[in-house]
Amino acid sequence: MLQTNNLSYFINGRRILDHVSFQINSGEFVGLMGPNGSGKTTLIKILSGAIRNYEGSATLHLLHINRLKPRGLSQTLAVVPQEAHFAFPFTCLEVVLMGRHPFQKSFSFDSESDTQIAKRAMQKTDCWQFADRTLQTLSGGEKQRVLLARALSQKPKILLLDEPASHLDLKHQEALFGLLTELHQSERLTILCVIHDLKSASEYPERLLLLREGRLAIQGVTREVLTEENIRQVFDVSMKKYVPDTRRMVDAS
Amino acid sequence: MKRPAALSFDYWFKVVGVGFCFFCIVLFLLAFIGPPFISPFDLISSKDPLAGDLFFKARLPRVLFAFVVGGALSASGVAFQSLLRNPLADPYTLGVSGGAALGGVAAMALGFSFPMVTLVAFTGALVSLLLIYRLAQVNGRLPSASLLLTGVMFNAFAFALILLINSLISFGQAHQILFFLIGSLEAVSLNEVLWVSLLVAGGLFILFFQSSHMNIVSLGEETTHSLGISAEIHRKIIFISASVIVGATVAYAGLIGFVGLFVPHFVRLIFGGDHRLTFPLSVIGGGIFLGLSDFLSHLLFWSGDLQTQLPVGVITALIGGPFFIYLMKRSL
Repeated sequence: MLQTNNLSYFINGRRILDHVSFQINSGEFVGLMGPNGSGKTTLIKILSGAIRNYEGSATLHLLHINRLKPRGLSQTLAVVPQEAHFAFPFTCLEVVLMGRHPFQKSFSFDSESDTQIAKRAMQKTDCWQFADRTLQTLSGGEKQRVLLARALSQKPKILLLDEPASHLDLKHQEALFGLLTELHQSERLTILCVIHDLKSASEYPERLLLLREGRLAIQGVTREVLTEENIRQVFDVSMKKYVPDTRRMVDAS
Repeated sequence: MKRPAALSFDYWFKVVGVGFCFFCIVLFLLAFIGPPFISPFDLISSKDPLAGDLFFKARLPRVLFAFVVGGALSASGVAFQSLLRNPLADPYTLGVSGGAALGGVAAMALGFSFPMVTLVAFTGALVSLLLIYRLAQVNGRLPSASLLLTGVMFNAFAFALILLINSLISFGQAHQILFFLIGSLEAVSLNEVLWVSLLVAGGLFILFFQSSHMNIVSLGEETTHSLGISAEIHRKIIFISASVIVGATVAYAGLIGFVGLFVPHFVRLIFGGDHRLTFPLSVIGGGIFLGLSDFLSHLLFWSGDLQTQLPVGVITALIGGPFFIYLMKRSL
């Protein structure tokens, strides 16, 4: 269970997050939405332990995340970052195997089972075919699939994703959310995923959190949150333009 | 041998084993070839007492020293490159070398003897390590950007002071300082080599066990956390161990350029990015590269019209520079 209570965060005196409180229960699939600069990525970084000097509380199973050891945390919780820069010529398989690092000793080699886990993760995200290519030779979307495979090879209970679909083509977008839904259903994986696309947001997550200027503006069950009024309030656009069949959802709510 | 998609122990063992054998063979050959050639049989039978003197007092220390310094420089190059996430970093990027050089130059200007010079230089390295560490810290973290900026500024400042000292002293001393700044492997005793080796071995030992963490560290601070190691702790371990290595080598050998940049790059082009392999191979490759460079500088002096022996730093840059460009062009 992920929980925040009055979570605030400042960079150079500027407020990035403002008293954010929510709870994500084990096995939930939650979408995180909000305009650029609303604090989505910061929230993901706090929940993954990368940012530790926040105010208020952020807990995982009631333990304060900024006091957890990275090793223990990363055995339960995995992150798919927005993008990643690779300075050295790692192959895709090497990068995915780094997801096994939290389970390995200080200087060791990947065991047969590590390699099998990595291979399965790569097959699931459709990137096993470039296992021996270096990351620099991949496109943005292919890279994202490798990063997702790395997170999956951590065998996490909780998966945080920061705009995992931003570089994906339509087919792989569908495959990504299909995979997330499947993992969510079959393995009760808890998922928090930053989503921009209203259509995906309306189809896959069970619940949505909407951030605006660092505040949690709206949260609730997906179809109750995605109303013309809420979208206009948070994003300042009309939902009808982006999701053609919204009337059905609005009516249902 | 084709590079596999991911590192296995078998492959690692084979490559590092072959590399190590090659390292030993080259070390052995260079120790005897010279010039002048010393026959191993003369040494054993002790027919020629001069040969023994020459071998143990001059040849062996020098060859060993070249291998140790070369290995140390490229090892610290690898460490700093992963820390800064930049393959263009070198052992001298982060300023500790500037502190060591400043200490050494100041001691030379004051007319200290060679052992004192190295001691002051190493102290300079440790002081600057502490300073840079304190200055670069942000909220207990050691971010690449502030580390890089602090190091570069520190180097610039140290070299301004070196030039200031240089303009205050006599011509003879200035010449000595120039040699130190280019880097040379002259005039070390077996004893001194032992001291450097101890410091370097300590640092290498720690860094070797960090080499799988270097993979993770090279992905950036946030990813380091989400892949299970503390960025704060491991960045500090890597920075301090590599800096001590650099401080020790600069104190004894001056600023030998290019080894720490060129060798790791060369190794990565052939064997890929995994630091568990890159690190030991760079140590091996750095030793061989500097050993051969020193041999070449010795050979040129022996056979040619050079007035003084060419500092080995000149050779490494003369060979390394063009070869580096060639490799870069080929890999683009």
